[in-house]
Amino acid sequence: MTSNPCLKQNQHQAILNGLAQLLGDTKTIYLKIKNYHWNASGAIYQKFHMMFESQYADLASGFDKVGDRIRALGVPAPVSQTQLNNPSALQETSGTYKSREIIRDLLEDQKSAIGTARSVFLEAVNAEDRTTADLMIQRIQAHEKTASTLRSLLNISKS
Amino acid sequence: MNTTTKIQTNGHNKMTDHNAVVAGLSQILAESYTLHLKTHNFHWNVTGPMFQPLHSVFEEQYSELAEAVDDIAERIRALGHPAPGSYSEFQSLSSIKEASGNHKALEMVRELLEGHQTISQTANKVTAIAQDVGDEASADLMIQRIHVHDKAAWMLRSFLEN
Repeated sequence: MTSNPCLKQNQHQAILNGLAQLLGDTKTIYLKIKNYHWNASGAIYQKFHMMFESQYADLASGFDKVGDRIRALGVPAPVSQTQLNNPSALQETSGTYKSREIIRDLLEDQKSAIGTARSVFLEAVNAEDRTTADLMIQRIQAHEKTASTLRSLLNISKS
Repeated sequence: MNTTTKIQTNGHNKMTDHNAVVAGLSQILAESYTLHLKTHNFHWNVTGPMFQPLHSVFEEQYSELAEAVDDIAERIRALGHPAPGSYSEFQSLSSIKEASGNHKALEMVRELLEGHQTISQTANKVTAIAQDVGDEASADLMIQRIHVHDKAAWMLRSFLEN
């Protein structure tokens, strides 16, 4: 059942599926960064510290906004480990890591999240759900900004 | 307790005792993260006349748990071990199960109350294990966590009393 009378049932469902995936991507990246933050080793660990802190804050706020949007569309937010892990395209990690592997892996995750947000954006535009579309633009901007920081770190390390 | 379990003069605990503390801290970490997610879930999905106060208490509690996992993980790292940090590790370590299905508001309160009581009991055991091997820093962290979980449990219990 749709809470927005302008949305057709199938459009509504496609948007909800996409938002659930983005919610999963967001929380999985959040947990991965915690994991990396705790277990990272190597010389540039200290440099990561600030970057991790700012990414936490952005991911926590993104998670809240995407969850709120799902609730506003009238369905329960899927927030268990199984629900968050299932729709997410991202692979979780365990163990200890080297700095460059971490940056590369996090960059891949940002690209996946951008891809998810783009496809939700297109569904939302198509369905004229401007609120979701606007939120997706904000999330794409946030993930692109993080991705560019991670790319810069890789380039600096290369030279 | 026999003399072989005494701590070494350099301040490091014997490896076997140390491993028991790390295992205990890892369980606390997994249970705290699981309860964090569960509380966030209920924060969003709670419905009914109690929505506003529960939405707000749940937010306070899931935020505190998100910060607490950092302190617990740091203690595990300080003891020289990797900290568990993935859903699959959490699921195998935690005795608190993730949220499933739809719950009425008071069922949510009861489930979270049980979660806090579970962690408080686990932390109590880990405190004793840490004190046994002279690891006062881990014992102190566990006592702080017991304070927090007992307070959270009291707040949740107050919603159940009519």
